[in-house]
Amino acid sequence: MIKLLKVTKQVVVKLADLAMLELRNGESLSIAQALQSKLEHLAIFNEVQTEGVRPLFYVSSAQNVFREDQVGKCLTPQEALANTQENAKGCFKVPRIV
Amino acid sequence: MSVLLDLAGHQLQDLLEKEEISHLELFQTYWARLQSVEPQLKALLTTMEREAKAQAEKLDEQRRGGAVTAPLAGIPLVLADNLCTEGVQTTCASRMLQDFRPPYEATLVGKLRQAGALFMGKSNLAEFDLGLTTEDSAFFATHLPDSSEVACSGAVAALLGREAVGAISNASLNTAGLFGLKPTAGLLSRYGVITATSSLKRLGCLTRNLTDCALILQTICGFDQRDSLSLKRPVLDYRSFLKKDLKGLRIGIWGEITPVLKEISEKLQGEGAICQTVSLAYEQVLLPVYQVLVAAEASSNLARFDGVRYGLRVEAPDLETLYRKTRSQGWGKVVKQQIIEGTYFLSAQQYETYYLKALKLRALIKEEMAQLWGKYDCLLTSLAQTAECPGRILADLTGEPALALPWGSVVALAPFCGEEVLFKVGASLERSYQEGGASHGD
Amino acid sequence: MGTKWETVIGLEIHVELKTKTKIFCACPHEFGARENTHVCPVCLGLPGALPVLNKEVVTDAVLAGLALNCTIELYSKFDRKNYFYPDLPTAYQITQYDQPICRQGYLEIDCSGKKRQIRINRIHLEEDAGKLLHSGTSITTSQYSLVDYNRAGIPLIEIVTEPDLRSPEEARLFLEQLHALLEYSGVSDVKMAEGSLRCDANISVRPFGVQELGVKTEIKNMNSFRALEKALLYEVARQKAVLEAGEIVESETRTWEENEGRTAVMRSKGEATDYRYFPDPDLVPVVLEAEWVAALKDTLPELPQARKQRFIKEFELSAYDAGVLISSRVLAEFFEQTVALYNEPKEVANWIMVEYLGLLNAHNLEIGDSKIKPAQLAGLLQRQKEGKISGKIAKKVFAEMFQSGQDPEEIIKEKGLLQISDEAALVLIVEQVITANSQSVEDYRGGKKKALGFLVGQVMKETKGRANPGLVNKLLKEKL
Repeated sequence: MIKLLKVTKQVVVKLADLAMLELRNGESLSIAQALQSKLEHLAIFNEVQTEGVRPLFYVSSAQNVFREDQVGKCLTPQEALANTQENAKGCFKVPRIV
Repeated sequence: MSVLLDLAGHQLQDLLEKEEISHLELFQTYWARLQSVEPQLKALLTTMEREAKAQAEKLDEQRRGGAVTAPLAGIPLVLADNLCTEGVQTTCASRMLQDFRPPYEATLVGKLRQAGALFMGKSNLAEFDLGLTTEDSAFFATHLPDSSEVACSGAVAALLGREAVGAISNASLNTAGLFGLKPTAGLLSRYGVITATSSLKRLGCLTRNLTDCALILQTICGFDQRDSLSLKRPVLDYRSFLKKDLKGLRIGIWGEITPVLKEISEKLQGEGAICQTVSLAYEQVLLPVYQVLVAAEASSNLARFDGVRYGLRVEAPDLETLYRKTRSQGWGKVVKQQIIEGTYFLSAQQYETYYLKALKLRALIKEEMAQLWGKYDCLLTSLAQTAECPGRILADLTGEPALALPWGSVVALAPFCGEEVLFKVGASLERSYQEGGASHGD
Repeated sequence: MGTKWETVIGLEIHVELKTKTKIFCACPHEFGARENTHVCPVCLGLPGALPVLNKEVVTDAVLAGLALNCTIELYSKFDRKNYFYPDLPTAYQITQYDQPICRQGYLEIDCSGKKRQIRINRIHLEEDAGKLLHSGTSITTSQYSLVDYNRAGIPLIEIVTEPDLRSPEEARLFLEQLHALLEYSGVSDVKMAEGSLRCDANISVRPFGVQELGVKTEIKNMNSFRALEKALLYEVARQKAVLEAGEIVESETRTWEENEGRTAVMRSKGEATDYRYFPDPDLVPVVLEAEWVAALKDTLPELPQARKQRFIKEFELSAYDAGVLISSRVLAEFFEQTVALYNEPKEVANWIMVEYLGLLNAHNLEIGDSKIKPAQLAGLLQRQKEGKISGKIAKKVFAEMFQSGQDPEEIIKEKGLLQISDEAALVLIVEQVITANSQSVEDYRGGKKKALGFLVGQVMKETKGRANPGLVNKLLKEKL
């Protein structure tokens, strides 16, 4: 059941944290307003009964798609690192984690 | 303008077979055309002159040594810039992937290459295919030929501008005078296709005529073991469907009956089809369901873009700053909005209300369509004026195939693996319009 | 100090499955390869790459579940756990959230004679993350870190127990016995040193008799069975001290610092991350057939407890000895194969437990790394039995076998170690020694029994340890 909550800037800031986005002040507000508007349109969800309906997690009815446990072709470290300049000793490099 | 630019791909193939033109000549004709119209169209983010020319020269050499049997030999195509081309920039029209050169190629690209196609370039799109038109591309907007109208995709503009004969691109959008066939989900491999969504927004083939569409699709459809959702189905001879007759075909007409739609249904009835109006109970929720699912999937599929292994990287003293700044500077407004919304729909408190609910509605929609396909072989709708209209997205929600027709934004829908119906309906109309029954245009 | 406290422990164990390739791509699964040489678009999380499930992984997970008496869920699926970290290439881990492949099993453990059933809540499949190498001594002191994705995508099963364990000792026993069980089932190498078995613990205390669980802390970074026990002992004491001081235990994740012998806070568990779990739309469900599962169950080899009982019955070993021998599948097989060639089970058991395990521990090796073959040990013991070498020499030869992997006959020959049992030869030496050690002779004759031992030692020295000690004893006594 959708209860329309107000999408505040704070809500968007928390979402941005989860999504690792840095939003400037103006952005958070406009995103909040757009989301609020979207939620108002989504209120139509309330009008359709879905009690007892199983969610369609998969469009296809396929099951058990496997591959054999056999070694295939790998990339070389050079190929793997080719799209970044920040690397050392054959590894990807990231700045201070904590 | 060279007459070659007006011929269909299969007609060009005849000329090449008969050696009335060489592959190189054909390439040069298209390349010259591209160079002259690109500045105005801006349909392509990357051109592939070197690769295409080399492919043409290789084919000419093969011909000198004997026959060329590759099914798409010499046919100039454009690829949407979300298809990974090895060593060639693939950006998804986003700053996030500016200068990204994939170390591998999409399965579809490999198939086209082996079939002898020439890749003229990578076409523009909305950033990560999440906006409505190329106005949402991070780089520039594409225009339709002789128009200031913004094109929804670079592929459309490229084809209308005669830069190529066919395109592999998102065929959900307004195809404005082209055929756009989106096969059943799983017939085209998704391996190497960079997409913000997994179960929506599929690729299709865009062409100016339906024979080319059949020709291209039957070359690239087929099982790919690198895609878990790939269908294990035999590849059919789509070209053979073009001549089939429509006697007794049951066609449902859905939505507002525009003049073009009326004209089309009359043509089809003239060929023996039976047309009846239908309504869909869940029509109103199609767009909301689609929007929730697209945003949710996008928020997760786009999480891998963090500056560490590829793409844009904003220098930062610590990891979190690296992530935040890269992700904020790499994407435009539309993408960020989608990510925030998707994160919201998947968040613990909202998951049931939005994401799960949308999937339940999707189940109902699919069930309703299953009932419908018991009574009809094909559905036609003009509820397809803009990119986000129900007619265009129904096929995405069900995984069923769709054919966007060049006239009046009409879309034809068919059940699972019902490409035969789409081809024969489309071909019948194509013949009818060619013979002189002009449409009212868009 | 009046309260009697009860310890409550639950374990979360990650086990690397012993497959040839990763869980969702065909990259090889090998320990110790050069950085980023076992990577591909899929496990690097390149745009457009897609996962495809390794069939073998499903078989292994089900085998583990069957060995642990679980209900095998015929329908299971994969979900995405979304979060950001550099070792996670797609910024989500493919795991199983609400429909894991196995549920509700148990492992019976023997704790000082008491049998306890520790319940398994669930077993699920998931992919491993890459490895981080920090530039500094720890993550908090590093200006940068390096990422190796060889390990990203290695198949894991996560085994979660109910909080049924009641002491650090029980927890260690559980882990040791789980280790043996998994090794026997063949699904994993379970080498803690190589990271193919990792264990985290959730621990809390509560007053005896209270039903409600106390606040728990999560303990990580325990890299051996002993470390697990030590860390939990420390943590129990720490929590008790906190509670007895009238304070509250904070819900935290703590790391075991081996060198300092204490647990330290890693992060507060206050604000749990929202992982936004949802079914992975790039994969399809796994649907198993009951007959297939039943057939798989029949392929399970003899498991540790069953083997232990058989050893006790068949070889008349004590429960303790049997317990030691079955603790590793390789060890148990070594024992049985040796006994098959030299039918003295108690002797073989003793030799293995004392000499062999002694050498292995001293060199910090596992039996699988050793060069000695069952036939070689059988041969050595046979020669000892036949009197060709003495007990002491046998131990020397064994040590040499351990180093070189050579057959005992070769070593005995090369080093000329055959026991001297020729009376005539020994008599000469005995007389020599008696002549050379008159003081000791007098001492002995004077009543000092210990002097005999000295004289025996002298004979042994003369013969480089090869003299038959029993015979030497007899001859000396005769001559004196």
